[in-house]
Amino acid sequence: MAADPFLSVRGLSKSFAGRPAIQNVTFDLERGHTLGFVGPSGSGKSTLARCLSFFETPTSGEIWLEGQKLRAAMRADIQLIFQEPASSLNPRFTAAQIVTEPLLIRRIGTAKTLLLLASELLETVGLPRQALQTPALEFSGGERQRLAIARALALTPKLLILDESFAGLDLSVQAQVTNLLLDLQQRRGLTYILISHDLALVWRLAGEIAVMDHGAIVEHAGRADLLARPQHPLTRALLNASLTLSLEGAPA
Amino acid sequence: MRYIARRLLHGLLLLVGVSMLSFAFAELAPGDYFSELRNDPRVLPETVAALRTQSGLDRPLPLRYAAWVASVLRGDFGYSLAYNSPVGPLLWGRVRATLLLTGTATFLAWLIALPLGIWNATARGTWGDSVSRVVLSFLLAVPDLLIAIVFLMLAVETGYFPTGGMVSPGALRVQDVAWHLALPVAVLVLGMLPTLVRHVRASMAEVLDSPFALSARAQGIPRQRLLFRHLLPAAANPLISLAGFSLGTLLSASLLIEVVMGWPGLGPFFLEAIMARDFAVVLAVVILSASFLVAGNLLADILLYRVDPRIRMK
Amino acid sequence: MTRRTKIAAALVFLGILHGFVVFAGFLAPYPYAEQHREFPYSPPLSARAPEVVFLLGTDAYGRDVFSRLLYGGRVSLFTGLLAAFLSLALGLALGTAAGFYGGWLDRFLMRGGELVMALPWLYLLLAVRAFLPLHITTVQAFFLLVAIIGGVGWVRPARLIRGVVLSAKERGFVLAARGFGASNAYLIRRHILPLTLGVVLTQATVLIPQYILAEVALSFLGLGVAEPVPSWGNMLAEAQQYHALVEHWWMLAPGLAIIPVLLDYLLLADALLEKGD
Repeated sequence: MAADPFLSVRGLSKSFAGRPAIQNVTFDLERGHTLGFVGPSGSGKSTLARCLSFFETPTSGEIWLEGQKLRAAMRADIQLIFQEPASSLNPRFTAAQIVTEPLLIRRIGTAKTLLLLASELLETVGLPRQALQTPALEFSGGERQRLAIARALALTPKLLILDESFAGLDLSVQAQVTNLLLDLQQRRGLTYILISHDLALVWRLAGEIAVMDHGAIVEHAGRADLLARPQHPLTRALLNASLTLSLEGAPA
Repeated sequence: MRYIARRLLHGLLLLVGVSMLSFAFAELAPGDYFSELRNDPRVLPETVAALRTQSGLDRPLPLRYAAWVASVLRGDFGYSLAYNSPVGPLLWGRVRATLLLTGTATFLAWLIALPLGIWNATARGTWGDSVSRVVLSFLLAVPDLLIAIVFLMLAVETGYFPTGGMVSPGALRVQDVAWHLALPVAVLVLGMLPTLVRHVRASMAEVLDSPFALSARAQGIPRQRLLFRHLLPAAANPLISLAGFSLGTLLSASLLIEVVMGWPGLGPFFLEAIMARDFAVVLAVVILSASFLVAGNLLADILLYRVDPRIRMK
Repeated sequence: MTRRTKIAAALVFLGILHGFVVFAGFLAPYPYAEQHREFPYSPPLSARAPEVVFLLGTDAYGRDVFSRLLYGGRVSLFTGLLAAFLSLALGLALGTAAGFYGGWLDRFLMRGGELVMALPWLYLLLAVRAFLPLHITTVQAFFLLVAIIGGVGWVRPARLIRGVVLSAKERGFVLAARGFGASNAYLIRRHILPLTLGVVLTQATVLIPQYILAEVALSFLGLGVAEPVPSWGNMLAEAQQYHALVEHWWMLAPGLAIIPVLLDYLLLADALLEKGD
């Protein structure tokens, strides 16, 4: 029997007040890989992200993680990084408080161990130790994004979902964060799901792309295949909208 | 129209709630009009009981409330045990006196505050504005009570103004009342001015700073027209609410001043009723003044609705 | 002057004023009820006898006005403070509950608040005071005043705090914390309540002076603290002997004493409202 895929989603649907946001979403994802979901706004990408990360309960369908059905106890394994890093961090909290908050909430660790962990986390995302006591509002957009990632790593998750995490960052900062994510993926074997309305933003990281429209996946293929043989008109439109997409540095 | 109807209904419900609350509260109060009598050893308990039954104080609460509502709707506000007369006639004389006082004061206060506030807003940062702000701030810190007492002191000393009452015996009617009005009105106006001017100034300043005003000025519209045709209406909204609120407090703003300066309005009447535990009067006055408040806010809501198209969108 | 220095200055001055009345016991030359019947209405700084000096003169019963001013200030200022604390505590609790939990609790509290607000304030205070026993001890009177004044004024703070809580609970970091499994209590304590601090402080600077004046009014009318315990209110009531007031002008001292207190709170309020950090 072939090994179970890392993440397996079958027939996932979610409706709000009778109106479906996602319908019958089905896909698999292998460990250490990156899947990008792209599509116009309203296509259900964010809803999907929230269903996968315990923020919404699906109306129907199943989610399997590492061969087990997804339960609340597995919350720590999947972490969502929000759309706007600025608002998902309390501006008055210090960097140390932010990155250790998930542990504090779960009453894990003592003050000393948490401080150590905080500086490790900051180091992991490339922020200086001195920044530990700096309040979040003094950080730039890119730095806040890194703080958000550090916070997400606090509970040592296996799957990271990044929802529009590159929007609003200028290109050089985007590149930095992308490099960080690639690095982390190599070092820690993390699996990523990226959500974006813009294909270019996820291109470097995503080995596979799933195109969504009106709540359903209309095309799902590896990056190279998508570029060479796009099937769905929406896919073609998205490809056309992006300026330069190369296949450099593509994961397998 | 529907909005107005809704607000009216809301106001009515509010009043009903207020009346029920006050009525229930009065019921919870220990002691009633006859408490003193009861403590008096010379009066037999049976007499007290009979007096209570006579004045209907021994019926159960909901019945008394229903009876009270019914009589209010007929225009009968109950019977004052202290004055031994129906409350209604007692009230109207007092209400008129209070309204005369507060009406005059409110009118004068707005009359002064509007131009002063507008001028302050347009002359922001200048010497005149700063002086005005300092003086008004200081005025805000002086308690009305103190002003009233000082004015009375001066009146007694100089004899220029009467020191109480609404009329002097054997004097010409209007002039006489005006003479008696002068001091209490002055105190009230001084008390109202600081906050009013602040609000007017703030509203005008906000409008003056807005992009809309700046572009109007850039178009070269002459100053007067700019002020009155364009800017004032824009500043009107918060001021309308304030005006409604001013109207709403017409009956209640002067309680302390009336008592101190001897103006025969609702204030002293209310106070006496409280001391005498004359609940019919207390209840009637509370409901009446609450009605004014509710009506004032309602008026402000309706005016805003008519004037501000944004609210109609909601 | 920067905003911070203004706030600091106002607070220091407040501290001094309150220090005066808190240490009334030490600073007052005479007990507040001690009468010197042989020296009624002495002017200030008069030395009627060796070692008997009245800094602000005496009243009708020969009681030292300065000492009574200090003791009276204690009553008036602290009634204001405590009542404001009560209103704010109630407003914070109810406003947070209404804003956070919403639903019927919110509607109930807001409707109830509307009812309370529909009654004119001073009338309400008097009526509530009236509906309680007229003759009570001073200590009872003090706490009763605090309870009434403070208990009636929770509505506006509650509304403002509710507004803050409503917008706060939708903020990203609150949702994120929820995602980490935070309980409601944690969210309120760590994220939401700190955001209400601004409103609480500005409301305090508005309510405290209002409540001091309320105590003065109630005691002036005879419904608050009663003789012989002084309060600035009942001391002013004594000043109502108009035919002689010009000669006995020092009787106005309690009224005049209120002015710097109110000015200070006014300056504090203005400074807090300025844009700053």
